[in-house]
Amino acid sequence: MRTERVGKYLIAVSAILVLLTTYLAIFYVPLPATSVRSANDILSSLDGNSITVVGFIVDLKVTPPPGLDASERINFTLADFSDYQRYRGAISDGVLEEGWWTVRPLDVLAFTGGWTGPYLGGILSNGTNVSVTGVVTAGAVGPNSAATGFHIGVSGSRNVDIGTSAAEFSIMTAPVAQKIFYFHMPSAWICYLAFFVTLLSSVFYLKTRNPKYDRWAFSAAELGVLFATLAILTGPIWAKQEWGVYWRWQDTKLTTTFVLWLVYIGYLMLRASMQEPGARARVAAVYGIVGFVTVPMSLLSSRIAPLLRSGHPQVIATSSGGLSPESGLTVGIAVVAFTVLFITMLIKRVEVAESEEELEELKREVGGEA
Amino acid sequence: MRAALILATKDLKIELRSKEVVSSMFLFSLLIVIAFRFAFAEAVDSGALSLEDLAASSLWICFSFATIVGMHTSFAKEKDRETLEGLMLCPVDRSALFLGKALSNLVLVFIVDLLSILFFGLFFAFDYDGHAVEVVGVALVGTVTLVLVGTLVAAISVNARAREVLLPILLIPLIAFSVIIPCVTATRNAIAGELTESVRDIVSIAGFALIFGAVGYLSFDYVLEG
Amino acid sequence: MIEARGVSKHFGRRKVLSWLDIRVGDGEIVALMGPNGAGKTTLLRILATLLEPSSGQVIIGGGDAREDPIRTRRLVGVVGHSTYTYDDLTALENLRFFWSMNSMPRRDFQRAGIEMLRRVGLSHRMNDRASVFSRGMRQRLAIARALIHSPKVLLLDEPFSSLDQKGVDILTQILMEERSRGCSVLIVTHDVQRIAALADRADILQGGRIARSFDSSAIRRGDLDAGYRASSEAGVA
Repeated sequence: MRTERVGKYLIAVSAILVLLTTYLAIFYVPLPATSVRSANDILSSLDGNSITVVGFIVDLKVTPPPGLDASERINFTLADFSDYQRYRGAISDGVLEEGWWTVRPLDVLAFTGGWTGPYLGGILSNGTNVSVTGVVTAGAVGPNSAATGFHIGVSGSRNVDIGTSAAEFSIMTAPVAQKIFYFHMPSAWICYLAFFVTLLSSVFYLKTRNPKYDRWAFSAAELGVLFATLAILTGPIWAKQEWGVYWRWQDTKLTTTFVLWLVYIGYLMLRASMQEPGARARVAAVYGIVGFVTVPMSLLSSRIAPLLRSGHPQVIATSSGGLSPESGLTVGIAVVAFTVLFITMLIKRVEVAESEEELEELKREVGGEA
Repeated sequence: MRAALILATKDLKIELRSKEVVSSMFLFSLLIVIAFRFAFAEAVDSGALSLEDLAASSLWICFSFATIVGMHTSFAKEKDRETLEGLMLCPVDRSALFLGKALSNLVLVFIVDLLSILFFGLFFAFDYDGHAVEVVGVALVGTVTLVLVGTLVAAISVNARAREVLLPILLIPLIAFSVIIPCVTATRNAIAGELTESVRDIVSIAGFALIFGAVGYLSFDYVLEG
Repeated sequence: MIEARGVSKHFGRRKVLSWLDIRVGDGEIVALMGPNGAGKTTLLRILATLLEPSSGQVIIGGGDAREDPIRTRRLVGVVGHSTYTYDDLTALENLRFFWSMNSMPRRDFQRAGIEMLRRVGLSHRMNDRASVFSRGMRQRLAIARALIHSPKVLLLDEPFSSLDQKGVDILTQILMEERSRGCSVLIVTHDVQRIAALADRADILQGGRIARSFDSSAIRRGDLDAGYRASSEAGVA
């Protein structure tokens, strides 16, 4: 009776917290005003070793170099100059003239063929197409390359480098898509926490053989898979906006989290395919321990990202700025909300697991096995 | 670990007589090589895909899948012929059984590695740019890790229904980052004669061998019981 | 010596053994009987350290079985439902494998192995693979395998089931020899006739514990036959 009342309170509290997070993410965290920065300015703020989120390019102002045919189609890349060939497909119709250009979402082509260098690319369109988001400005440079500058090319047989001084950017640092971060990051954190609970419960189960711990391990793993699924689903929604693609295999964070998800799906399948409760608990506990090696791999992958050629945004910004106070508060509340939600769900799931076990027993008794 | 050696010798002696495991593993890996040859025929002929890259990636897919076939048989046979209990009745630590099984599996998988490397070279008229020895070396290091985690997971899945399907489902995510990616990189570097570039990969593979070996050694008591 | 004190075993909520006590002294042959599903095999597996009891204590040869399972396994020889032998090895190689796994000295094997095969009547087939053996011959090999490390405790689960008359005679002979060597023998069987000539005691397992016990004189009087029939019927009902 008493635990039931506690459960009710917990459900109410977690519901309120999740609603609060949603409210804060939508209404409280402001969309910062755009600022105009020159290409040279952005380049000089990059440290050349890690990926820095500068912001989204809303508009681009170009000064065409002299001697350009005004009717030539243009493309634009901001990248390691040696990499520009990769972006050549990103061409749109337009006449290069001095003034502000609206940037369309980044074309997928920018991501074909491995490491793309500091990627910042987009298709220019002349005023009429007013889709806002451009690309996150990334200044990361792998150990093998150096940021050499922005490049604006002209299609056809010749590509003309107009250099960094010819470009100026109108930048927005936290666009609408960013808001999914307040759900994405806590989900990811909860899945790590859940798998850690599975690890601990598995160890305790093997030490004590108390079926209670087996229920905790199983319930936590199931919830971990649920939250990992949420993280894996919300990530691409954001990535499509920021990177122009849903998925990048170069991003080790994505791939290691995906592998992590597969490991615990395997854990659940292993349990589903074993009938004898004792053997199931024992064997699953061992797999729950072995499988945990993928958790630190995933957790640390974006910290060691430059080495592994990742591009995943880090929670704690490395160089430029960090979180605004509003967004910091919202992140904090989001993490608390998801943690309380997880604890509530875990307690309830364990209760359900108990009932399931009882049902299993009763079925066996009715089934007439002596 | 005398018991581990005795068990491995027993397994290898049986394998020498029946040749069931090595032949099915090798046939499997041969089929993968051939499948790759067909699938990438145009890419290789046109030069879009270098033979070095194809060798590194297809060989490790061969090794991984051959391991899955081999590992599965290693415990499933004992289980199906009801000899697993006989082993469990022997007065030795369960961890000795783990080491013994891992040892015999290592020998079998490594034989298949060597045959696959040889046949890949013959089929593609590829001499590994004169670095076959380094390629074999990387194969050995990677196979140790592969076999340690494979033996443990095979023992875990042997009591489950649909264990043939379950084994790859449980094993592949575990070896994706610990074995396949670093081994492919190291093999490519080995062919290019730049194995020194892959010190980090080799250290990481060996590190995972230690982790998986330790977990298997310590937890085998719980895996084989009842 | 085998001793189980207050052994319980349940799978989930299903109780198989509850507070069972049994004792088999040195040089004693005890038959364990009871209706199907009474938990005879479960008890045997617990004594052989293949299964952990939910509670209670098992003492084999004076030491706690759970505390030192390896020592216990060295003392115990088991003939189970399956033979635990390898088809691709010869009879002698099978014995050699289990001999080595029991850390017996390698140089003594040749003599001990051949002697053991002679006792079970397989010495003329010692270099044949077990895969060509008949069911009865495999069972004899299984008996040899169980005895190869001179165990102090023998646990046999339906050992007569696939043996022909000659095999039964051989096993009976071996069990009597082992008894005179001081070995404790526990046999699970349904065969009242066969056990009557051999057992010093018969225990009937029912309701998760030893329900009745017959000593050798009672067995010979035929009490066991009637008692066992009654318990089987109760078990069915």
